[in-house]
Amino acid sequence: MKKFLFCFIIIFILFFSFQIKAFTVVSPPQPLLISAIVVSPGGGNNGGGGGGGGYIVPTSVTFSGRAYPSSKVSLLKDGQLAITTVAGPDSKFLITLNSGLSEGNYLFSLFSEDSAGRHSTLFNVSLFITSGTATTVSGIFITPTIAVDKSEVKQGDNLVIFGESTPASDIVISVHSPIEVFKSTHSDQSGAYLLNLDTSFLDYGQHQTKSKASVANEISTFGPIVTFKVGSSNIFTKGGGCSLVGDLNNDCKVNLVDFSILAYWYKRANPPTKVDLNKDGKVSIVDFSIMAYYWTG
Amino acid sequence: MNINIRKNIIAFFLKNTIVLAVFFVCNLFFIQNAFAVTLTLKTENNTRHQQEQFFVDVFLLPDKNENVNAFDVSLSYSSNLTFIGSNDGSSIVNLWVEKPNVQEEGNVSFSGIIPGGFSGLVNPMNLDPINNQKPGLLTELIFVGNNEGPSFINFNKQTTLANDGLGTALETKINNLIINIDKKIIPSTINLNDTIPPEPFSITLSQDPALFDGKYTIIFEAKDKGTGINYYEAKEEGTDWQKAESPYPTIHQPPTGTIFVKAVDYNGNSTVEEITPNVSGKEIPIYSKLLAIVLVLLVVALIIFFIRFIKRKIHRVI
Repeated sequence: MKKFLFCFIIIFILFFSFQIKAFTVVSPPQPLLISAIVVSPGGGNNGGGGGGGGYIVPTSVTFSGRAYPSSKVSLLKDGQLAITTVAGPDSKFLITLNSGLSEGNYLFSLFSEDSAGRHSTLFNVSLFITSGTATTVSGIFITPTIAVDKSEVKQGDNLVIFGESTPASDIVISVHSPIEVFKSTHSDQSGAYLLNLDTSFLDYGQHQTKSKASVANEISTFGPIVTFKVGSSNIFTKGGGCSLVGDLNNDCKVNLVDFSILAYWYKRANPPTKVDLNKDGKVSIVDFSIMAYYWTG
Repeated sequence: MNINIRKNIIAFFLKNTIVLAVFFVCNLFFIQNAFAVTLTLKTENNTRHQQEQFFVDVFLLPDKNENVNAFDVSLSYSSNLTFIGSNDGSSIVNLWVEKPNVQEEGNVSFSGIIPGGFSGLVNPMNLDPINNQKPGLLTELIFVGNNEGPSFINFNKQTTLANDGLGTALETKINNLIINIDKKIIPSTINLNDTIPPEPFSITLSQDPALFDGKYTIIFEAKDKGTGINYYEAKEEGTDWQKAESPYPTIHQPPTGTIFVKAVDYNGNSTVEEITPNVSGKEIPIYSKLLAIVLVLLVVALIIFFIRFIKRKIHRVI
């Protein structure tokens, strides 16, 4: 009976560990609010009057949410830079695009750049825009930026993981090793956060880390992934330079020019090393997917 | 591990096969739901006439919380169908790696990317309280039926990749299409009703060793929300309009004068943009150099002549 119970407990633990893993993959979405109102001339929302002028309110789309204090927020329309703004000291931003919109499907992407020039991941929303409407998307929470102080850390030494997010937010940092480990810290009033990670529990080899933020019942998704190696020595990361994955022409952007260079080498023999993003000796759709993840427009 | 414990575990596994089956099914249910994308082929009417052109829409729908940023699809179709072309005006695809094209008889393939990923299309004017995320249209393929009988369009390659920075392949469900071509012969073409020209676009001049061996190249990408971009034309100093594809190495190396690019949609509407390259270290043609030297000498001679003339005048007055 004892052995039976022992086995049952093992199965029970295994079962729940699987379920927990399955649920951690599916992180809760941000509480996005999307709405649209008709603003065509004579429409109820536009107020009366103004007759005879043929005044047409342009089709527009407005995005608002949180980024980092005084950070640059960029809006891409169908993958190309459309407009930029600067977030307030409280990290809140509002950005409106009211030109170049006709009726149809659009992919809007937002990202922010912190005080050190580090980028968030893209926040994406695909919208069907109806002509003569004002669409608003609120509750956007731009992912935190992240960096590490060493590209290789001596096992047992501390690795500093840092970045920026909205002020006074809770930051969860994930460290991917065979078992995913979560650490938490807080951002200060300037939005900066820092974690000293004791690496004694990490195996030798490559590891990844990423972070997400939460404040006042709002939660971001995980941001960019940064890799580091646990080895036998400390190698500090070099400051300066943008070193964006997918930035093939080294202009600190991942955009149509880089896409064109990659497309030129698609299915061609012996691509240059810098073009082969996943280092498998060829340019395939996987390289394009990697570039699309790091896109800045 | 202790041998007795191991024996007991094996015995337990054997005795409780039903419990274990339920356990694995539960796990599969949770895990499969977390990794799936559905690709669907749709047409308005599954019965068509001979010589009638019709659209076949290719839709992509990621599962909740899934995000797709790249795809590579190949479709095979029966011999009584002919692929005519495609329309990507309503597409969610931002950049095509390969637009729909026939590389071998009976197969049409296409691939592209959605920077930042796609997790479902939202129509703010028609919000669904249960699920706002609707399928996104990849492309509208145009086919025509040749002979009477059943026909099919099937996925024979469907790669969808996660927006995770690694290009992880996602489990992809497919919904193929069966169409019946009836006896009637009613020739018809698809009526493209689009009067709006392509949206304004930008042209970038680039020079990179990895692109056309370092030649000056212009890069452009226009959007048209009606019928999509059919083709581009480019015009340089001293040349006529000619078909162009981005990236486009300029005829003049380095480029001289203004370069024009025309984007034309499937209904013939067009938008023209231009760029005047400001190439530093630009090589000046030899005849221009000679002309410049002659001009400088002429100016110097004129100045000398003028000074001498003034001096002579002053001398005479004195």
